[in-house]
Amino acid sequence: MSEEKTYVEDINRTIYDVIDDDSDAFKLEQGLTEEIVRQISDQKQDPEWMRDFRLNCLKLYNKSQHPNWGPSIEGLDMNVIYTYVRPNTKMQHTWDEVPEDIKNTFERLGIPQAERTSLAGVGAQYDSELVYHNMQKEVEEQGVVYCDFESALKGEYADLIHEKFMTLLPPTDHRYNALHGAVWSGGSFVYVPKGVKVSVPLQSYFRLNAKGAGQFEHTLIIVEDDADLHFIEGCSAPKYNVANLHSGCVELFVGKNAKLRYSTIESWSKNMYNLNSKRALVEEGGRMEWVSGSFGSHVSYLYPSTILKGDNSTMEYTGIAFAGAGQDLDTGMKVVHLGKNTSSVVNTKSISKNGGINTTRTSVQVMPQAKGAKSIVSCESLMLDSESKSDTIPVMDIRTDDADVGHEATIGSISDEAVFYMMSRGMSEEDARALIVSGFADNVSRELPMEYAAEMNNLIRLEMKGTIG
Amino acid sequence: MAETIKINSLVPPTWNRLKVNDVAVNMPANLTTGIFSDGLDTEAVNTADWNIETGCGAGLSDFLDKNGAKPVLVKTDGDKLLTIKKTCECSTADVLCFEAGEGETINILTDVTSDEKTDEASVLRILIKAGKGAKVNLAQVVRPGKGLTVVNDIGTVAEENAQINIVQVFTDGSDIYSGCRTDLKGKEAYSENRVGLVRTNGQTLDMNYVMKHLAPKTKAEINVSGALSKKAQKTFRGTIDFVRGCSESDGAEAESMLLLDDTVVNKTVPLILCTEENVAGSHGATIGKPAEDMIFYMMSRGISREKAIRILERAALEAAANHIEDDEAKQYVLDIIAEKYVND
Repeated sequence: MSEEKTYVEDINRTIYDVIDDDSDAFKLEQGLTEEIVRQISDQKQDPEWMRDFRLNCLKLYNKSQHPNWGPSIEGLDMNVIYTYVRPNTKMQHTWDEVPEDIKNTFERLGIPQAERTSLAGVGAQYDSELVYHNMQKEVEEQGVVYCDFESALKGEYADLIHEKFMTLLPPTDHRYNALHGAVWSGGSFVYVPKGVKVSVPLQSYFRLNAKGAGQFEHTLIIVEDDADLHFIEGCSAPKYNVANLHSGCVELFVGKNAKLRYSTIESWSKNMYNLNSKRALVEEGGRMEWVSGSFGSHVSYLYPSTILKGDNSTMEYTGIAFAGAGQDLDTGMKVVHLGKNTSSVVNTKSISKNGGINTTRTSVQVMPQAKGAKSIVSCESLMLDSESKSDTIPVMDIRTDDADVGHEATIGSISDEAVFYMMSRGMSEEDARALIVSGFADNVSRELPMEYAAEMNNLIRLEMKGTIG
Repeated sequence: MAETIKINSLVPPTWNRLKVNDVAVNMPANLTTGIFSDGLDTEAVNTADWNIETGCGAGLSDFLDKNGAKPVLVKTDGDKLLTIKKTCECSTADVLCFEAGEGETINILTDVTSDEKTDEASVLRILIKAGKGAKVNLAQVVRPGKGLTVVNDIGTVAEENAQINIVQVFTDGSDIYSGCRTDLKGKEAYSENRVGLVRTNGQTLDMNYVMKHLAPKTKAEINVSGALSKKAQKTFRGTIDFVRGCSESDGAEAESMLLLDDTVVNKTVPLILCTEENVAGSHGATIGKPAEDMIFYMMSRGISREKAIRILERAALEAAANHIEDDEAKQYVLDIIAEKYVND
């Protein structure tokens, strides 16, 4: 018998922590002023409406306060954050044209390989700008548009973007939407025409390399009626001894009888403040699926939200958060039922260890007109030691009699009975415990394409060494 | 001077837009103290000795201090039921303290009511200390007339092996704000809160219930069931808090709410907070309309739909009342429920 005991190791960050030299990058000065916002707008060659929008957002930001709930962000000082860092390259359409060091970083992260084997298109953002964007010709011929946001803003879909930009996530919603509106840069625009089903996923990968920088990419996806898309988002950064900031916005429009799956594997470094916003609007018969893995960052505020506007629209959220030492992850989801016969199914899991803090925050609102609404929320938390913390904060706000709403939450440690059962079937205690922890995360990894499930497993690294608890 | 107080604060808070982080209550001026303790065998106590945290919290404590409501210790006669029934005719504020010594059992029943169309407020805070191996059974009926605002607040501390059982029945009348907090301070302490509620005609019920597990092998349960109709609003905040060191503790909260039309607002906020590894915490909620097959069954037996729904309302109240340990208190509460549904 092995002398090693089961050990749930911290996330192995070796591949994420490689730092590229950014001495040739163009940076605006630190802080957030009207002059900086104007300079970003100049750099982006914004249309006039966007420049005005940015300046208005800055005013809103300056008037707003940080929320009075959630983890502390005292360590984040906007006066020392670089809001715009442009790598010394233009956006390329082949990896060979991407500068060697940046290409190597994405190679280590497996992005070009994934593109070759399992993706219909890839966008790769490095600090504030995209350095690579490409899509398979076959998908392009279906009429699918997948491009960097700045190109879209000036191209065929400029009016559509003007119409939709930050309407789902208005800058008045909260302080960090306003910040995003003022300094956003990069991100992707995806348009899937009516009836088009994209059989393999598109992926955007966001890499923040510069020390003390912020990343503010904007993702806007429109899936027209009867269309189907799977979009994957990945993000990472090397660790620094100063704060970095991520404040992206993701706006998703799901048409009638359309389906959108949005998968995220988030692996920011432990100096990152991840203040991200995501929202989907789902029309009649549409379906929104969220798959979310939160593994990195020092502090996270992340609650993908869904508005089930159309009758018979549906939403499913599957999420896992893993908080280790020095991490305070406040994650969850929100759903608003507006249409008749809408349904939402939510499964969240969290694992806390080594003093890590997990808060699962959810809200389900069923409005009076949402007759026949159904919602079921399940929150499961696993505590691997008594230094850690795990809170569950759900809210259900139900305003119609014709609804069926269920909620269940459990918190606990590894069950001795389950371990005993497996041991009685011949497994060692160490193997039994490892299997239970691995199985706890299984429902999320099963929802991901194989390559990404493997990445998630790499992130959790359930190693057969040491001891639990 | 009339003032607005903020009570029933959610700790930790959540999104402000959901309006569940606390509740604002308009309180009248000139509250009279000593109404609830009138006729009871009481003695003054040192306020510092009864600094027990409650469900309504600091906002109510400040208000009680300002209005001169001092805690008094109420003496009980062994396990003989102590009944405190008050028909509120003026605005009142009182703090009653109860203490069950080692191995003792005490039974308390409170019944707050008022005449129709009053415009007053009743504020009653009950503080309970349950010593080692003691048992405290508290049954409460709150059935205010129209216009009486009721603030019903409880704070308890349970020592080793102590048991605190609280059963509350909230019916009709006007707005009720209810707080309850139990600190399970001693090893193997146990506490149970059962609430049956019926709210209708625009009435509000705002609740904040906290079970704090501070010692190993403590056990707690919160169970809320009821029905809402005709613009009634209910907010239930239920918190199970496992503090580091409370290993092998078990906390559960369950809610079953019937929503009888689409004018009601039902908010449920069931928190589980945990800094201890070896615990089991759970929450379950079912919220929605009455099951059609159940209604159909009753209608097939000649019961009208309206009457079937009233049977379900009554069942929710009686389900809570049946958990009252003291037989006399149980019968008292069941009689009140029967009287309410006398015409059915």
